[in-house]
Amino acid sequence: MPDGADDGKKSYSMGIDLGTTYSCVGIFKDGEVQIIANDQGNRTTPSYVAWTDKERLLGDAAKNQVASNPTNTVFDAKRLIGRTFQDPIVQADLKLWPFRVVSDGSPDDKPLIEVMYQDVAKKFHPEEISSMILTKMKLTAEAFVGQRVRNAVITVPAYFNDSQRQATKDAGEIAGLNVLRIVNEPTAAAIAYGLDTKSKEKKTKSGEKETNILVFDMGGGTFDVSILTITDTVFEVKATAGDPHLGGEDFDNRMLSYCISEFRRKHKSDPTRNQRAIRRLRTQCERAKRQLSTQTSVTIEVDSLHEGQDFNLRLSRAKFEELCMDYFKKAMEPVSQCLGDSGLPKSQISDVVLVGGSTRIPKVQELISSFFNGKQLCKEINPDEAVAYGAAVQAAIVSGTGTEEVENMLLLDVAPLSLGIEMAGGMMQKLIERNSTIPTNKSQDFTTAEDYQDYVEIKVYEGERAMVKDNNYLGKFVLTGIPKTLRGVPKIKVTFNVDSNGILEVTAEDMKTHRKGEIQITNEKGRLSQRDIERMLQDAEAHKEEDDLARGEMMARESITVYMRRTRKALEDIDSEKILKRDRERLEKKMEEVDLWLDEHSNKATKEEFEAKQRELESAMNTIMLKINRSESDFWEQQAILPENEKTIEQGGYFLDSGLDIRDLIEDPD
Amino acid sequence: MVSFRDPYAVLGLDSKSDERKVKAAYHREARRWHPDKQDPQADTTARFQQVQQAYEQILAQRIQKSAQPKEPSATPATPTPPAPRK
Repeated sequence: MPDGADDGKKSYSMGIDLGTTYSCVGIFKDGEVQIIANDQGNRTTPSYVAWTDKERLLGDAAKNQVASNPTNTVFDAKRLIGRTFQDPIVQADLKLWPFRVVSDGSPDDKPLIEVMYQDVAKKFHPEEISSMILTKMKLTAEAFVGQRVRNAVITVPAYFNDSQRQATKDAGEIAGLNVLRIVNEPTAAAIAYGLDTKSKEKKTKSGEKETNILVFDMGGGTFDVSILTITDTVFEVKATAGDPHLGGEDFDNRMLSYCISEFRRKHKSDPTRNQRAIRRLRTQCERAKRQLSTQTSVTIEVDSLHEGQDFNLRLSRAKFEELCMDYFKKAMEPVSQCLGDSGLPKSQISDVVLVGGSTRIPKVQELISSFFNGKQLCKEINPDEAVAYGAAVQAAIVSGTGTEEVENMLLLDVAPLSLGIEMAGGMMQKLIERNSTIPTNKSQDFTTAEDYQDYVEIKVYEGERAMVKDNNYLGKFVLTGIPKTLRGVPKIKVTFNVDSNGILEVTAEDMKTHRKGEIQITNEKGRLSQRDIERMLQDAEAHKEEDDLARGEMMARESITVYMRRTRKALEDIDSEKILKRDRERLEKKMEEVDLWLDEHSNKATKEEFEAKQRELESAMNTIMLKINRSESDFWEQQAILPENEKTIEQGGYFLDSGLDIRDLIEDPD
Repeated sequence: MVSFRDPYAVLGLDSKSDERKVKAAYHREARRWHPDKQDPQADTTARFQQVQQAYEQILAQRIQKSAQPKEPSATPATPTPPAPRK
């Protein structure tokens, strides 16, 4: 069993769908996949990280405060990851982000996200932001299984290129994860579909049945199409296509621009520079977009949006469709391309599976359906959770922790883009064709063009165009240390390896000496070095300590606040005759004092200070409790009939976040 | 080198095997050697790639043979592997 159980204790492997706008985590446990709700009870977590004066916030906590803290709330890291600062897509996105993005100034031109934290400007690579979200997902999984989880399968859009995949893997490493696999999102969704259909068919027809499906996966930021052939337990990707920068956020942006222009027209003032206003408006646009999937018109309303002016706009579904129609139509191109590449006619596709939140849009469904001549679309699987579901299954397959049925499954995925090298005249010589089944490798021999030449330079590109200048430059590999001899004599075998994650590795061997070590490959791909990753891993650990500290304070604050509330309630409920007036007054005075102290200190007190205050309060309360002439069980029975939300602290128990039992706090332990 | 081996032998078949048999053999061998199915230490990637290459070679050969206008949409689903180099 690879990476399997240690010390006989079953170790779990999780599947994480690291999305542009939302992320989701699943784990294979007790023979089935569990999609895990976070501490807020949500099964998807916003891919948001924020810095306040005091602490770092992740997920829902970060997204909930975005309007009040727009410049220090970071999202969309997936739209930056594996790209350069000068990438036209990054330059266009920049204009829409309220947070600051700068170049690292190196020849690699990596983008850095800049936030203010405790009055100091801090810069983060997109990989680091993603690692923080991964950490949040990991904590969610760990809370569920009650033990550490280190092994993870992380998903990426099928159409992510080499740099984006590598950067996502790096993010996993920075989060301290053992990344088992990088898996393509539509492939993961296909697993969810396959298991679902299989369980429904109840194995009426056994084996050998071949089904071709098309997965249409449009999420918050990316779009993929994949065609798979499913034969019993074998999932074979035939072709994949997509657009790594197309999704729900683009539709939000269209609505946002429209709203801004409407506001300008009505009020003759421009809210564009008002970050808070833009953020509030964007949130309402996103909500309206969702509503328009079920309603035919909505009202977008924001009170006092800008310069005291309210915003109010009635938007019809037809108008929304008009605003986004070019995007919707653009999404049909990869569908045709994917079909063409698969070699399958439309009629051979038995199911079109919809995945990702944006596939709820009626117009998108209508366009796909009519592309397939009015075909009924498959909406059986949960569009928000299918990818994490499949990733969790793949995690179980790779780590050998699944059931027999799951471990019997085989996934054969492909490389989405052709890989090649620059030849004379700037032509692209493809070594690996797109849609090649991975892992794959192809080799080519090189020699020298001049006498006594001792090095060869190889430029690597990915893409489908004939000229390298139209493709994406991945990096330069310089082979040095070639024995000096006449031109054409040396023979260097260069091998392109695409591993199971879809990540390219290049190796070279001097065929004369057969010594691989003789040749050095200088990797100039603009990715993080191992040293960078290690440094970030350390930073992340340090951050964890800071977070733990902040979390300790938060818990202590929460604990005393809950105690105050309960004491107040208890005072009301306890029969006044049973308490000495003096004791009651003493407690009330103490409570008043603590209230004042909290008002003043609740943002700066340490964990110890909160705890000390709580102890003062406890001793005042205990004096009363000991004197009360009734059994404690009566008292708690009375507490038990309080309304549910009063009775519970978090999830229906008497326990605080810190693990303390609230009853222990009120009762005298003696 | 695998390139010179009979692709049918790699999959444990003979050249008269029908399409269904070829596919079943490919699935069986792929399942056996795919790195997902193996301990990462026991790197079976090369073996899997032999299986993959053999399967693609068989498909390509059969498509060439049947490249009559009878089947117009007979584009190979998987790319043709390069001819063995000397």
